Amino acid sequence: MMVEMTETENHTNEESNLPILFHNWFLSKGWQIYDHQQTLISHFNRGNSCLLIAPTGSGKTLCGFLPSLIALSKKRLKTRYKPKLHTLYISPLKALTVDVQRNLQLPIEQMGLPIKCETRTGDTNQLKRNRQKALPPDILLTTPESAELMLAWPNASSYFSNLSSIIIDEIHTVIGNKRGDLLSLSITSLRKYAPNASFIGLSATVADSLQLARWLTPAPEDVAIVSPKITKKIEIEIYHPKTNEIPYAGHSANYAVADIYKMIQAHKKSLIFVNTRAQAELLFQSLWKKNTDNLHIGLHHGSLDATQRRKVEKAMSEGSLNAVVATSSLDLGIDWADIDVVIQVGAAKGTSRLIQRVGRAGHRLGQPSKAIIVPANRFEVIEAVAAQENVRKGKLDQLIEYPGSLDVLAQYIVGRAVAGSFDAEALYQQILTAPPYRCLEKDTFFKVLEFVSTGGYALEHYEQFRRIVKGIDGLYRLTNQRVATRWRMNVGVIVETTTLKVKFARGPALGEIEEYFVQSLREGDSFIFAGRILAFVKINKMDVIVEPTIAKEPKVPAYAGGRLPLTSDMSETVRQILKSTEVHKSLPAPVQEWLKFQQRYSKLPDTDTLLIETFRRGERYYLVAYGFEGRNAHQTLGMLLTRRMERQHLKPIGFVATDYAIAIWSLEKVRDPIGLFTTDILGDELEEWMAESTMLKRSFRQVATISGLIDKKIPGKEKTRKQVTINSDLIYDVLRKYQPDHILLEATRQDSARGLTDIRRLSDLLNRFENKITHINLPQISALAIPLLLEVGRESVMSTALETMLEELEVELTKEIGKTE
Amino acid sequence: MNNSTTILSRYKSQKYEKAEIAFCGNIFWLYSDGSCFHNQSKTLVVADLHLEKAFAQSNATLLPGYDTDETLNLLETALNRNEVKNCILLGDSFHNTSSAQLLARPYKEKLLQLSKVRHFKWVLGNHDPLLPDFLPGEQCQSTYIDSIELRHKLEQNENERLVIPTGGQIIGHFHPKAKLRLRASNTSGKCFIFDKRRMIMPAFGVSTGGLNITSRAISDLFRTKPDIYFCHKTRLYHIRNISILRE
Repeated sequence: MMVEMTETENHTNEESNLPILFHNWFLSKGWQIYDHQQTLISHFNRGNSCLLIAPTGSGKTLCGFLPSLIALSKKRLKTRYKPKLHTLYISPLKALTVDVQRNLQLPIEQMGLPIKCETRTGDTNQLKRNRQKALPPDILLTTPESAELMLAWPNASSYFSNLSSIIIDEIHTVIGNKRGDLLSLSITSLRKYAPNASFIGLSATVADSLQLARWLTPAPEDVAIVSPKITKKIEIEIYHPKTNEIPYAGHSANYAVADIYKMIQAHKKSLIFVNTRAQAELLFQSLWKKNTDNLHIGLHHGSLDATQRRKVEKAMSEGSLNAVVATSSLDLGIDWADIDVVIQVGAAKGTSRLIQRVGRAGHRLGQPSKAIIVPANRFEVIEAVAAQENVRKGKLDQLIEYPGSLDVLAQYIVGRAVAGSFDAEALYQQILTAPPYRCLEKDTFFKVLEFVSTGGYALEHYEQFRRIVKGIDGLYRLTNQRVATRWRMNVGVIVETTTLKVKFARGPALGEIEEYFVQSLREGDSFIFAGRILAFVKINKMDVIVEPTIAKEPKVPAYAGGRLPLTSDMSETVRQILKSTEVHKSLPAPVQEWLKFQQRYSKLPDTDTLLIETFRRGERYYLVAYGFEGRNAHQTLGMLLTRRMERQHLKPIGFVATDYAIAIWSLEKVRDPIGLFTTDILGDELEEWMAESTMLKRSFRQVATISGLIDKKIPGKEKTRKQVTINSDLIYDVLRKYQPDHILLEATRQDSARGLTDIRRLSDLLNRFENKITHINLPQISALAIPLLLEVGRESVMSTALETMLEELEVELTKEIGKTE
Repeated sequence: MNNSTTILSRYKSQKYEKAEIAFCGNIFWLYSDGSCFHNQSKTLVVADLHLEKAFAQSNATLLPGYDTDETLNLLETALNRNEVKNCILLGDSFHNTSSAQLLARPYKEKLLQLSKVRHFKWVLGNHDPLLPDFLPGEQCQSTYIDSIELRHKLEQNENERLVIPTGGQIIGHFHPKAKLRLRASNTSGKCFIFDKRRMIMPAFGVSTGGLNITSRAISDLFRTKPDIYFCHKTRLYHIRNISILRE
């Protein structure tokens, strides 16, 4: 719907085509309106949907809101005030909604616009929510989950009916994942309620912008793609240590802390990115130990309490911090104009991610972004060079799409019943307009519908408990209000491991750590968290009570997930760099030497062959393969190879996988190493392994939670809700045995195909190097294998080792008893 | 090799290993499925099957009902492991009375088939104080093996005080489980726990939760240091070192 504009109020400045008020505001700021901002406004005025693709720091977000601000400023003068939602902004990141609100408040206040702009997320208090429901603001900033909850309101249809603009931010981060699937389904509801609203998609630069348009709407040809030619200069430097020491393995970059501190000193405001929360805590600690100048250094990661994070964000935007150590929690949009350097500690693992992070620095057009990569180990030096190379060439990572997942669909269908009633056929047609679901079979849709209403089990006596029934009018409705309550508690696709709140006995919460880690703590044990050293006191319900301590060797909490594998574009560049000795000359001396040793005593990996080394060390025979296909693919390869070796009675004992290579050790010598790597390993062994693997069980747990079969665990709520706690592994085993064609198992298989992109990488690797394997038998360990063997011991124990440990325990105890008796 | 990914190449047998114990002057064979066999009287004891648990809850959730199939299959395996003449089901065999009444035909048939060559004794529990008549065998509040009393939970007299049994006692009800702190990780699972006078059996049903044996409700029932047999896969592990138990 176009916003009404009457001649009398349409005083625009001829030159900028902006209303006078806005034109003057731009002038007062000393800004000029960019072409792409103007293009967007005119597209919006014609009622077109747009996709704005621009690098960070190009005024992208303001640009997305500009048409709404202009429309609202005019409309308000004309019509009597009756609150209706005009603009809905959806961002995948909660923190971003807060930030965008802050940034929008500025023009609204300075121009004195009568526009109400509010956020609504999981953090919004009940009072404000109720008010928003009764009196909507003009502009609402929210997350996909909160939007989906609102869309299930009984009055959703009238609430959203006046929407003129729907802004979806950071689209590139939701493509190909379940959050994107849910958002895409929610958008079909929005389109139904507000058929005339324009969509404005905002995204960072991607390899293929049409892909984004296809995701935003089923009619991508009607989307105007606005992609300003902004070339942002990026200067990436790689840190060379003066001490000539670079560790072989590890991720802490401890060797460089003194120099990282110097970098902070040399800049006004630095942003330091690491890859995992544990690394963030460690680096933060080491920096404070070196902090002789009393610089203000902050810490920011996803496990910290929201108020702590807000504090750091606020301090950073006010300019009272010199540096922040952050994880991907700060990857997206937050706009801090005056960061002058980004320090990436450890490899960023992907080009797009690196560019996104580097874009935080010099967050203004025309200003170059300056970044320094500090590799944590020798392989990462090579990876850093590869990243630098890819950024220079503008080689972005591909976004991979998948068909929409069925568990999300189940959740969405229940939501429609929560909202009121629905006609199955019409709902099916509507779902087809969500691009990820455009190929959904009708049969599958009805299977999912059957699942949400009865469970879809082949058990007769379950029929009596239909939760969603078809009435005589042909519409489907909810039979049980408890289903609605459960649905509201469980909306969303983020299934997290159980976490506990960390608190002082009297004082604020510091954040959350995983239950698994807490279990390993005894009273008095110390650990690093939220940038402090804490002593564990006790667990009180869902809180971990701690006190400050000055212990010397604190533990670091383990966090699930975290490390992302090397992208395939990166791995190709890494291979190229390894083979070109010319490039080696620019590398730090210890790395040059390391590669020289490899070349002299073994061989450098290249792009045409797969290098395998074997050697003996002590009682063990080692086999090392340099695949460069990322940690996950190598992990799978390790499982498959050991299985095969077991069958050949080679007595494999263990293996270790990194992003670059894999090492397996066995008690017997491998007779035919090349023979181990035939492609048929992905047939028999893979099938067999998959069926037993914990990976499928893990996906099933996620599928079962998202689809509403089991409840999400919400910290602190366990005691108050009557929860059916049931082991999802058990349901998985039982379903597989009794109803292998159940829809949730189908969803799990479909899902693991997503997670198995790494298996695709593995099969590509094996196919590519079939008959092109170079095997070298060495008298001793090779230079490149050293980092791998140093990783041994860092890996966690597999669950199958449990029996061994139980047996050890028995032996130990028998010994003890022998002594006493 | 410590702490690194380890592959066990030892022979994996699906056969359950028995743990032979002496309790109140009798020999019992314990199995990690949670069953207990008295060879002298050819009696198998299982507790807390909670059959039809998922079905009983299916108005609120959508859990699959195959837990009943699975538990009955396990029961069949346990019954065929040794020559069993009597089978005592130590209460809470059904998750609730109405789901027992509504028991689907295939499950009824399975129970009839299993009881053809054996005598079934259904001890009544708090979840199933009433059982339908179509179940094979007899129903009772408690029963005996030698001088050992078998009942679902502790007996209370009219003053709600616990009745102390004269001989030994085997009960279910508590679903005992143990959490262990091992060298490199923690694990938890069901377990048998007993001292000289009293034994608490683990729940046999597949979809049953558990109560940690460190909780007062269980630990207070043992005057002397109890023996703990931890169930893991096909084996039982005798836990003598209490310091590895976790709350």
